[in-house]
Amino acid sequence: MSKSFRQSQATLHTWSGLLVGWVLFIVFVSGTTAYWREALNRWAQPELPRVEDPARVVRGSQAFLAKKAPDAKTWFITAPSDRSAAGSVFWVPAKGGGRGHGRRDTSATIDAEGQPVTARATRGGDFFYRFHFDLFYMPVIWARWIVSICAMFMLVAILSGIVTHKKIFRDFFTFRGGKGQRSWLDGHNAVAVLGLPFHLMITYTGLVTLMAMLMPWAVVANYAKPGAFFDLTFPQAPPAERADRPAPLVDIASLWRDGARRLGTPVDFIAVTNPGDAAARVTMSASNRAMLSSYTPSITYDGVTGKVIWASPPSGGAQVTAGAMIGLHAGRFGDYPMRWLYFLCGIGGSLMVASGLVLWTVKRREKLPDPERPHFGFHLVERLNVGVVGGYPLAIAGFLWANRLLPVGLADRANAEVNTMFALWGAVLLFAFVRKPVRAWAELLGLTGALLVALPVFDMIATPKGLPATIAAGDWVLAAADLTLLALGLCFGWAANRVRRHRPYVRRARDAERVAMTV
Amino acid sequence: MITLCLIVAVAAFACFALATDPHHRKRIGGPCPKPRVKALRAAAWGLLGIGFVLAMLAWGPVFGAIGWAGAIMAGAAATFLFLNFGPAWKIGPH
Repeated sequence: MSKSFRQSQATLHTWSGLLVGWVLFIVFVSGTTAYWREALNRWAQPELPRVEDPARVVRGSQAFLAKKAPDAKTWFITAPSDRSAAGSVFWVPAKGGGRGHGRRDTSATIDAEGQPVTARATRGGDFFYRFHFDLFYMPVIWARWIVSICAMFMLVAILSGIVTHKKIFRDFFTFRGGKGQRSWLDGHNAVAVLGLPFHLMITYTGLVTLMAMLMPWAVVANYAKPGAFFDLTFPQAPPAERADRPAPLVDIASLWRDGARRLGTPVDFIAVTNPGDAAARVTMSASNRAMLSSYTPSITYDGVTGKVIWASPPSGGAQVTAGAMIGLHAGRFGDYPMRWLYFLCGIGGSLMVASGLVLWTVKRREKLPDPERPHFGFHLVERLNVGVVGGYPLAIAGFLWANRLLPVGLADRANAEVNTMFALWGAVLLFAFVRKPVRAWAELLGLTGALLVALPVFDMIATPKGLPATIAAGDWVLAAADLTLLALGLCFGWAANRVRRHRPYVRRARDAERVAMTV
Repeated sequence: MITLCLIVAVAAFACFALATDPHHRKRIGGPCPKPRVKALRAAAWGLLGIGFVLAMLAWGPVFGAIGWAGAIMAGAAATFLFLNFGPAWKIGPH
């Protein structure tokens, strides 16, 4: 009975993991990269000076908006932290003003000096954050359903995997290298068990982030009006009618400081409605850098007198629970050591998915009637593994290079970076289907390693933010970004070398050894 | 404090590992004697407990538990990498 149960779980584990494994790999790698979203944003725009005094950027934003859009309906100011690349502002013009204008004409980047600035257009680290659950080239709702379904498979794969490999806890510290399938299994088990709390947490909380989409019934059944749930989840001060009497706006930077003090966390996001009018309102939203829940409170001030007129009510238990789970998933609260732990766990998860996919082929290769001419299913899985597990990291390296090499004045440059990445990836997928897999693995891993190692070198030569400069300036975020790329590149190079020198493991040798030992 | 928490986590898992026969054989020599298994495991749990307190002190009560979970994963991973890929240090006389 128990054996057959374990057997059924093994089958479930194999297929639930394989079918969605490639998507999971992409989601895991993107999510892991997104833990350095802000650092990558900074890395992607090396021409921007480092933000050392965020208040200066907030003052600069107000000055810029007062000049550029004095009669706008609303201003939105994203206040930077000392981790961000820059501040940004966005405004909604007064009625009619916005027609025929793109978002570009109503937004601006404010640099560390408080001046509007044009930097290279890029999506930087934000791309990986979005790609992690919105994918690309498709409506986001489809993408979120695809990612969610894959995440559900993942949850099934993790739980059935615990049953299948029940020895994993006993053989916790064991790795038997150089033994073909056994080594792959040990490696897969090791990354899975070592990060098991993370893997379970991240998969479950990942589903929680999209729960309102996955299970809308509770909301539909309890809230008659469609907007009622939203209003309850994201409470706002009652809207103020424009008074049409001009009045000077308060100093936003001092309100920003006051908001941080009252909320007990830094303020990331400032909304100003009716600026320059007697009915101006300034709303400060707390950052989730300093709290676990991702539903952060906000506070609204009168924009003329600077008095507090509204504050969000305390969240209910359910909301704090959901918010904490989402916060736990995104890890935005983390200081740098915590962020590194998240990042390393993410790498462990990516390796778990990748090794599981490879294990599927390793396990079956020995049983193939003719290894030179495998059946279609094996062929497909083997080539997709090369194209996705070998291809996506290479494509990311290509994205980073596109960020450095595409001309600054290129039209639609931010999307061009992304398109470059996918074009490269497409080429790799084609390559994977024509090249012998062992060769393709070594070549792709090697090329990825070379591209990653070359990036910090390029930064040293061609940008003012090379390693010596950033280390000398004590700018450890950028220095660590370059050093991490370097370290990852070396790891890829090491892996390529291992694959290149790989000789297929011959099972007979071990059997002979065992016979010799028993005799 | 965070560094200390990580060191304690590594030490805890080193104790857990040495309490298993294969690693005891490799690092100290011979299978691990029963009383020593008990002592090492007790030490490991004790260290994990100390790590929890350190994590609470380092990250505060809300994030401490998360940091602790992360630290023990890192400690286990570091131990795993050292034992399997690190230098073949031995403690025992054998």
